[in-house]
Amino acid sequence: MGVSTRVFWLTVGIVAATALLSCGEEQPPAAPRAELADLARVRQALLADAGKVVLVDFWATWCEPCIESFPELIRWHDEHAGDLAVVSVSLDDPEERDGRVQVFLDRLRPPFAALLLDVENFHEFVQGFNPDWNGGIPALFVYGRDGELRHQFVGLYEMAEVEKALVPLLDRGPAGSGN
Amino acid sequence: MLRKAAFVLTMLAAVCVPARAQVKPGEKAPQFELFGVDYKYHSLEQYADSKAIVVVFTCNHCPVAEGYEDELIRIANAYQPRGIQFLAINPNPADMVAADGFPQMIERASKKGLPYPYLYDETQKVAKAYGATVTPHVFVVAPDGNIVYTGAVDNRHKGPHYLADALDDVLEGREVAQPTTAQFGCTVKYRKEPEPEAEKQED
Repeated sequence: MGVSTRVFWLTVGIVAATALLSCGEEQPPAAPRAELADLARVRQALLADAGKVVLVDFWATWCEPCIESFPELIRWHDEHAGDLAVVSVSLDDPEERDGRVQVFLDRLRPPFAALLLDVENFHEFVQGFNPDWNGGIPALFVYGRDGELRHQFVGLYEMAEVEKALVPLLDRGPAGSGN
Repeated sequence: MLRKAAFVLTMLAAVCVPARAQVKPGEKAPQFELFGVDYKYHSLEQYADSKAIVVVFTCNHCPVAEGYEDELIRIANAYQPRGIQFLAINPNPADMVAADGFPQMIERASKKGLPYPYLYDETQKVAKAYGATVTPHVFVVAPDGNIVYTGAVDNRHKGPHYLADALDDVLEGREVAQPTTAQFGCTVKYRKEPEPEAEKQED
């Protein structure tokens, strides 16, 4: 066996051993990088999870109540995997994409879409997304499995009331609406 | 001195507005009288001779409101000499946000050299009457007392410059081209309304 063959098999062995050793360890999900998004992209993200209940959460790093409720969204997403999708849309300045926004995402590592609004005209975006919304955050829009808007929470709402509204939407049983 | 002022605020803040949902362009601006950082009361009525009154709900703690402070000062300095009065109102009482307390407002006004009164809406009645949702949230009142613009200062620090455009329209005697825009800022920290008491069942 030549030297190069021995080095090859040694490398294979180290890689295999490392892989085996790390099998039992749970790796934390990688932090997503915020994706710049316009109205079309937000709508696309909303439609990407057809058949699931979808939460669209508008937030910003400067919005204290938004920051406080963000871990709850992660918890719900994890608890209802397969039934619930979350689309988070940051209203931070797009220039903060690799700054404040990424620092926040690195810390919380949300397992769902992290969009960063990058639009020419915010008023037109709001009108296009939901003309009933005044543009203020926190703002959370809840869509049923059929893609219809079922609830909207804007301002200082309690996450408990959102959770209460989610229960019948998530229920797949005959008693629940299921959509 | 400050404690005395706070007491005066609590005891005397005269707000003559009924509770209502939200004022829209074309509707009458709710009247009010609020105490300012200059230790004087300011009312909408006392500025009735202005060519327009800009009522802007803003505060100390919100980074968006803070980010708009210099722009508002700039716009006020450009338009107040032309007969338009600016009134800034903080709708967040100290029990909701400590940084928005009256002493902190005095400090901020002094530090920034605000060229307009900075008023404390401690009861939040005025903010509720206008339907202010965020800071900053702008309302422009025409000389006839009607709202002619409500919304943001501008398009997130770029054009269109909604407030300045609305003021130009008013000064030129035109109808405001864009009377409503989406707000952009931190939520007004309203106190939670007390739960209505359940009606007693009579036997």
